[in-house]
Amino acid sequence: MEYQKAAAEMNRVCNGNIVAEYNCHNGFSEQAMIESKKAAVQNKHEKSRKESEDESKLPALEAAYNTILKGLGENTDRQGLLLTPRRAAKAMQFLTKGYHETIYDILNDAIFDEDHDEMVMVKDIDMFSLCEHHLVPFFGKVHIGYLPNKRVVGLSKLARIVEIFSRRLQVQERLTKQIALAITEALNPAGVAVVIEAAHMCMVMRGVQKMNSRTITSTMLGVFREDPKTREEFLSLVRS
Amino acid sequence: MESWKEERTRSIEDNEMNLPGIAAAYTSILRGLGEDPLRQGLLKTPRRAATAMQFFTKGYQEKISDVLNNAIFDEDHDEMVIVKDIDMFSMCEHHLVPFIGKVHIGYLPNKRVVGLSKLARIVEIYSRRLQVQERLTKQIAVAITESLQPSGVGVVIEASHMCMVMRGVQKMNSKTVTSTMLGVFREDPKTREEFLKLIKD
Repeated sequence: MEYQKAAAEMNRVCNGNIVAEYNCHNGFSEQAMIESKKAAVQNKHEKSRKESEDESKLPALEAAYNTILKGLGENTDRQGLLLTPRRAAKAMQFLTKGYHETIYDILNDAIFDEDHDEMVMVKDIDMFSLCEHHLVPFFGKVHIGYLPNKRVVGLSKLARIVEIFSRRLQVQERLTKQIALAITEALNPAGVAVVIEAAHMCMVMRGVQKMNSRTITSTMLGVFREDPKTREEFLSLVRS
Repeated sequence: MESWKEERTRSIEDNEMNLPGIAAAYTSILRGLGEDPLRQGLLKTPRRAATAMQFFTKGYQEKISDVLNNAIFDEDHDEMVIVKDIDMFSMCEHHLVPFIGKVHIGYLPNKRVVGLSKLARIVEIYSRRLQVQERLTKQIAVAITESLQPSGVGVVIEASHMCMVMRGVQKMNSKTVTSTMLGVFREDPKTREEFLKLIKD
């Protein structure tokens, strides 16, 4: 099936864990897909980082940042830099807080049965992520559309799904796909479309240094992939 | 306040020597964040991130005198010269997160003008460091003053701080504007007004 194939491709590298089978711990297990009508609460999912552990990891991160500052030739005793290792460590933990959270945590209560079968779009969702190759931010906008199949989701939950997957070390292609698959697995809609348009600081601030370049990625699942008219409607609503 | 004749604090050899240490620090950061440094996407990340960080702080390797020595010309011009919308990328020294924006520079020559791209190079030298926007603005203005002895210098920087946008208060559209006015730009309100009007779109 379309979803399983797409999910299997993606799950080879799922949140840092190389998994052989379709058992992505931070998305939905195969069971959930089959038993999606049952309460999702019963399924336990591991997070690769627990929020309670953040405090204890801080000293190691601080020491690493201290080494970096010294290695760059800076004077770590000057006033402006005294507390920088701690601030930078906390900032980095915040920017990767997506590892704490799973879809189940946020979606459990907000799926409603609604007899609606027209497209629902939430666009211009601001997104901030970190490039996993250079640890430099990339940011932009996410546009999500889905065709419900008797089940709709609370609108802010779409933005929360974006937050969970974007606050990680990411690659824009994977981010797009993870968002699309998460919505698919949670709602079983007739189709999902996700488009991300972002500026990569690793291209703007260094390397080729092209200020105005934008990277656009998209994932179309279900009817958005099969039916060109549906896809066209979505894309024209994104542009408007 | 550093003068434009400041000593270089870092050399290319220093960079090569320090790279492994910085890369190792990044590996431990990746572990500390709960990631797996051995997965394909992250294998070379410590090295790439270390090199990127060295690039973002390459201003420590350069001196104003290297950049300006040959490009100061005697010219009988005493009207304002403005170079505006210079893209600027710097690193906040408090959170090690980028802040990006535009720099507008204006000066009133006193028989000596400088090559225009050199103004942008001065911006590069001071912005590619761990910075505070206020200090950056002042350093650019003071460097131009000390090298050209113009009648006056005005520098305005408008920037967006990722440390405010991506984390903390998370205000997407906020911009921070700082300015330094020296010489006639400080003393004469009409000169300042002309400068500020010309840099507005």
